[in-house]
Amino acid sequence: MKIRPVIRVLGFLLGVTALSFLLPALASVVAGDHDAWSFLTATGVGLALAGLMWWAGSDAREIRVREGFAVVTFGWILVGLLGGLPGWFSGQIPSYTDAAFESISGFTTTGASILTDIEGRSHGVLLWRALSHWLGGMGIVVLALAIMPLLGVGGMQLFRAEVPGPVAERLTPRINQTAKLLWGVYVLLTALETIALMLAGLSFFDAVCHAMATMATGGFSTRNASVGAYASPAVDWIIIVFMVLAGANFTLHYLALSGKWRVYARDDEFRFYLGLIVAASTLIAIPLLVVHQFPTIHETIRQAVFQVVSIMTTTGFGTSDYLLWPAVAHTVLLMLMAVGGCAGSTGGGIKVMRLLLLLKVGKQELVKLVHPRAVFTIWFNGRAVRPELATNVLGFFLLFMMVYGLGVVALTLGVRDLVTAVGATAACLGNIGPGLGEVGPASNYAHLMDWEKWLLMFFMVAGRLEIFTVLVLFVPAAWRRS
Amino acid sequence: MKIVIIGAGAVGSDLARTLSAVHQDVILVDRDADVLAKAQEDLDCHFVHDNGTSPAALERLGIRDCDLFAAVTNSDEVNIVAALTANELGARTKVARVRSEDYYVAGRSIFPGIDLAINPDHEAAHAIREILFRAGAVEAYRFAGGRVRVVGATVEADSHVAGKTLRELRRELGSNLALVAALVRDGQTMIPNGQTVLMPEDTIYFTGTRRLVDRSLYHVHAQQEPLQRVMIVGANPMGVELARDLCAAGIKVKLVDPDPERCRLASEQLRHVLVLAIDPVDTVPLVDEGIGEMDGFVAVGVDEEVNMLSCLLARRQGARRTVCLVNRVDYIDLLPRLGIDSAVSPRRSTATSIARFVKRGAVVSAEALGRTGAEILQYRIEPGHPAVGVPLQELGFPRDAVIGAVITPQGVDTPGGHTVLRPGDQVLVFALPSGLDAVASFFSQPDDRP
Repeated sequence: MKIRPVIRVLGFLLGVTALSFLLPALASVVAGDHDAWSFLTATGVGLALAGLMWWAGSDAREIRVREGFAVVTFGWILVGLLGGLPGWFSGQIPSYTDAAFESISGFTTTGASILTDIEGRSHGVLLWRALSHWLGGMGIVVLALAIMPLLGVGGMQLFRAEVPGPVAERLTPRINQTAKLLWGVYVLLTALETIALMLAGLSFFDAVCHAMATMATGGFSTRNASVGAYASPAVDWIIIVFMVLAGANFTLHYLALSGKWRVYARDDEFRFYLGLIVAASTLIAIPLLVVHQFPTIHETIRQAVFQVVSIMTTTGFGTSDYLLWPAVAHTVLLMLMAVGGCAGSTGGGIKVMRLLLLLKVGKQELVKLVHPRAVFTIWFNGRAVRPELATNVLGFFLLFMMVYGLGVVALTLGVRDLVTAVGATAACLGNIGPGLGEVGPASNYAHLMDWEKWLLMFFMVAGRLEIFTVLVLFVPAAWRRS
Repeated sequence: MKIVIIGAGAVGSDLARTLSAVHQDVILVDRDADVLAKAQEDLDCHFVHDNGTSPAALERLGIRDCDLFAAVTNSDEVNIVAALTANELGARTKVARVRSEDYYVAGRSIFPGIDLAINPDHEAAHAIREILFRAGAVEAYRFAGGRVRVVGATVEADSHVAGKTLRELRRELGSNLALVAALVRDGQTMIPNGQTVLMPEDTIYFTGTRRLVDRSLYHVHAQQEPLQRVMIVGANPMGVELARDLCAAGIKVKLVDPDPERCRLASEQLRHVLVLAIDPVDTVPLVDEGIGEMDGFVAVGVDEEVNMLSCLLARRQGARRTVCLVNRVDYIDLLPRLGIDSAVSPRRSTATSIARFVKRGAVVSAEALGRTGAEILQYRIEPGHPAVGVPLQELGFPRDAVIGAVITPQGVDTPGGHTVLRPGDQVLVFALPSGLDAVASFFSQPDDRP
């Protein structure tokens, strides 16, 4: 691996992040808070670091696949660490561990928070939380659809291998153009949601923050009670719709915006995704109706759908505390935490496409028992999937589950009970936010010990970068000079 | 007559054999010395080891005075390039074997420079499909991109039509009976008239649109169970195409091939077909896969002996209809005695249709009718032809031949005495061996006449 080009690119990423501090600084000034200086200081520190790294690095055109893994992994970590500075400088988040947790949670679009009193923070910090989601989501869109296929990880490589068709493969041959197109879609959807939320009665500031957190499938809210604070069905439904969109493949949105509306109906993954949402919502709504958790049928359905979509798309907004719901809701939601959004979305988790392929592999193995001599091909979106990809998906699933298991073991080594350990690991590895037990939607991560927070931060980055990208750096060969 | 054939594989060798049998001057060209050496063992013609697509090589062969240029290698692209190059260099008639559907629009090749593009696998797959679907059908042909079908069916002793004259049947069934254009009895092809009595064991050839032919077959044959399960041996292009066609018609298809790699390739093209890597003569796994419960069993593998054996096996296990791909004439005659229902031989039909094309220039397409020497010929009526505008009964059409269908831009007509041909129409002619020459000269254009 060539280290110096990596350093230069990392410097560039830090520089961009440092400049993005100016926006929350402005928000603080406008709102009359007195912490703008902390953002400006962080900008200074960031730019100084960026300059130093730019100077120490060398030509970024030498970046190849191996360097790509390092850029992506360290990029997310360094940007996350830098993003913790403003809150820590201003004293809004007194401990740096907490500040870094909040920032990495933001950039990985997780939405796990250590803040107990969110409404008491400055506008700068609140905007910065939403902005870190939004920037992280922006990175993910490009990462998932343009860069990861080149690195050979992530669900989208499925498309790379195939002949160009109506759906999905990289939209244009160049990463730059692809990135701009997808960012266009991302910005457009964010703007639409902001307008919709303002029409539903939110202030401009709240609407922007929630729109950014939705489209990134992040989940940071500006309210202590999250979206539930508005107690407005209109707001709930608007956010449900945009969460569903954010959890779907952005390529589909681009194609739909260019007039090909049918891509949604034709896409196997999208149909399965909607099917899962409907099935899980039903599975949760029925027991809720039985125990009369909510006064009306409409509210029951809305609460169930909101929670299912929020967890499955790995957003993590809350409208009520699902830990008070019947136990079946907890298990369904826990399973959805692992599934996550579609490939090529801002959602985390295993991804619907991988789940679909796993199911197909499983079915194939069953049929093989009946027809031992049969030769099978897995089909996806009407095309044959190369057998290596099935292996790749199985490998991913195995690694995901192993990391998950190790996380649970590590957390139970401390003082956490099993439910909390399972919930916290699932929520961070899947980039969701709220978990189960002590880290449920009504509580937060503030009371965890520092080492637990750092461990969860690692999980957030690992989950966000599809495990492979991070774990490959633990393979010695990745570091050797080619 | 000077003939150049590019590709000394199975099709090329067959074609060379057919043509050199009638003392033509045949040059067989191949890039692969081994293939050429193998063809040399049993062929009497001129062999050239060269690249058939290279203009320089074609010049050396004397392409300028070549009467027939046939490119029949395994590669569509090589054949097309070779034929187009030969066209540029001045060869008279260019024939190419083109298998990919991409090169056809409405059944015709998209290259004007190529006089005849043939796709024997495709035609054979269609023929097998028709044979499977039509109870009692033993032969099937398509003309004009499928607008006209010719289906041969055997009259069974308990059939509704046995013992009746065609006139009685016509009165009884009216327009539900397609034209019976030819009849094979005791190995002799004849052209029936109203007095002809249909006898058990006759093979009668219905001609008309698909619906009409289907309706006619319905009357000839006792009801049979619908086709539901078919097993195909041979994951080659023909097998795959057939599997796709049948599957699209809602039939459960199992495709068998001994080679796992070919199976994998086939399964990547066939979503709903169960592809099985089984040796087609390996009884136990085939029985496990239900070979005996098959409504149809089709063997189109490369090895014709294996095809025959697996058909016998299927027959023995209880498969209802068996269709076998064989190219050797002696085997074809053997099949009915073995209890195998139908035979298709695309390679032979390629060779014979090219040979026929050479003999009768103006023909659009042609098929051998059964194995009695009779032929089905498709002609286009050019403007200025003497037959234009004259009712058929006044035309003086050759004896021992009959017009079975008239294909107009509007549709397909069953010809009668008052039918009038217009320029641009195409006609389907059934000709007995004794009538072939008269038919050829009837339709030949003045400038084609020697």
